[in-house]
Amino acid sequence: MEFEISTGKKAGSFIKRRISRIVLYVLYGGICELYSLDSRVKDEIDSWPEGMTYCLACSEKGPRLFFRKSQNQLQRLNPRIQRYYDTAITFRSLDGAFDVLTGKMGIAQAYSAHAFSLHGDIGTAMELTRCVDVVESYLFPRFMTKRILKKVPGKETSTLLVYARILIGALRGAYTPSAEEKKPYHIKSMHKKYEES
Amino acid sequence: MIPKYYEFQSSAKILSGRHALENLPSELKNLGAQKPMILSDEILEKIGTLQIVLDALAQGGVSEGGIYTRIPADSSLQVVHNIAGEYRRLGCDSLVAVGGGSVIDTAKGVRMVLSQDVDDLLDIWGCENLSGAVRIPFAAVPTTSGTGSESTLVAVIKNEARRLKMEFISYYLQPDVAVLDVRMTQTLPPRTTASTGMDALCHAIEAYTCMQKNPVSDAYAMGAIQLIVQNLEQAVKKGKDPQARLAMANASMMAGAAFSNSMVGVIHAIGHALGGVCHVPHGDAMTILLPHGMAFNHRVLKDEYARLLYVLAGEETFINTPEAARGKEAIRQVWLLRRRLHALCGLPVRLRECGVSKSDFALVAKTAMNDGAMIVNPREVSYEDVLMILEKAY
Repeated sequence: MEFEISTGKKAGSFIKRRISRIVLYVLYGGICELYSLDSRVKDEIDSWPEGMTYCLACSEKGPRLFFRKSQNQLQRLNPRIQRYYDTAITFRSLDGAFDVLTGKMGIAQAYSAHAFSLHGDIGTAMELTRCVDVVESYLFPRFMTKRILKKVPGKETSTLLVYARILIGALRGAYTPSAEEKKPYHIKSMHKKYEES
Repeated sequence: MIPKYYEFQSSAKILSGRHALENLPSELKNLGAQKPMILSDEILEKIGTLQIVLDALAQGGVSEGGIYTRIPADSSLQVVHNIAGEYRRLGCDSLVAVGGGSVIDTAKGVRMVLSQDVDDLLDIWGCENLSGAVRIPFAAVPTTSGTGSESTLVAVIKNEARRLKMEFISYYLQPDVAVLDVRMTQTLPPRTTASTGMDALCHAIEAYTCMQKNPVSDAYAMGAIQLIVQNLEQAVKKGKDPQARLAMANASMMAGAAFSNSMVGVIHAIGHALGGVCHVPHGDAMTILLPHGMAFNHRVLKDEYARLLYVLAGEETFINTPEAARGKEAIRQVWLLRRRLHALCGLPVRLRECGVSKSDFALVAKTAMNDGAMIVNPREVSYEDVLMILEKAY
């Protein structure tokens, strides 16, 4: 028998789930746009092998972002279809993910607080976290980034331009997920949990 | 200061001191183990260290499940899979690892394969991603005092096919029992004693200063530093001194428990890379990098280093040093300890003494930047910072 969830927690969880889904979308848009606008993000992504697939999951049953590198650009994958990845960061709770996605906590702080588990190579996760740190420096206001990042990376372009490009990208459907399952760089069977659930 | 949130686990039961090994059979029985597989290496078998453990097990009426001693200096994925196959074939029910970090890490790998019921470790590669499945009783008998692997939740296993060292972090990797018996470490040569002791010191100092630090890991780290400062030089000078050896074994275990729960930072990140790229022994890399890494972090860790001065140099030096200068004095004390060990047994203090070439720096720095330890270092580290630390340590 499952525990019955209180109405307050249920409503809070619903809101956090919705907001997390939106932020994951904007985060992906930020990574995509900064790939062509910021040399640090470009260098990181260029170093990923073809087909490198990441999964960022806000808890086991929460919203998930799948994306992979494909022909020198990023491709968003449909979390309902895609099961396999090379590296996955899975937050232990929706609340932990919400804190990170809304700028209350940085990735390093979340790692220190055991807020997520990692499936796959820690090195590839480090590459992604460096990208996310740069993206956060554009998407979040400075008072937030000063609190959550050990050192705020300098900007190579304006935040306004990044947001404008994300908006245009969203309008022209640039972040529409692929309709089919894609092969990651190293096919792993670590995603059994999601298949089962 | 208490962190907003922290976790701590150190679940290994410690058997430390006189007749510790002779108490291992009863501990195995408590864990429900009747037919353990013994893992060790060929050198320990040759010099008779393994036989001491086997004698203790035989005397305690433990049946031998199997003995595997072909474990290489770097724990390997292939060896882990071979041992897991042997374990199943022989019908063993538990693991006893007798050796240094490599043997204990191999045992952790075997335990992961068996307990998670997977055929390939690659399927469960990651960090805090394991769940408790089949319980395999596991006892670790360390034969060095440095890695602290007997109490850590970390295992590093080499993947020969992909030429990389796979890091696994999980609370399920901690052994059930850790046996600290001076008979296991008394034959360690002075140079190895010094090098592994400095590794333990580095674990404790980084554990005390990394982002995951918490009041419990701090207590373990402080205790470990105190024991190392009081006993390392004696253990190097007089290897047969049982008090010094036992203190170092305890220090190593405590430092392991501390860093398991607060992690390590830039010094280990660069040290791992130096090991992977230039094959610098881990303890030597830690010895060389420790004061340089501390100097790099000093800007954000003045207060923590100042508190460390009390255990590094004693009450008198602590009181006589102006408050603002205590952090730097702590680094100087580490520097002095390193110099004394160099004079005692030739412990290397510069990278050039370990065959590192400046042309390797770029690859070392690139590798270090992707090390998981970087994320918990309290100061942001850039590629250029790593190059600067390497230059200074050269």
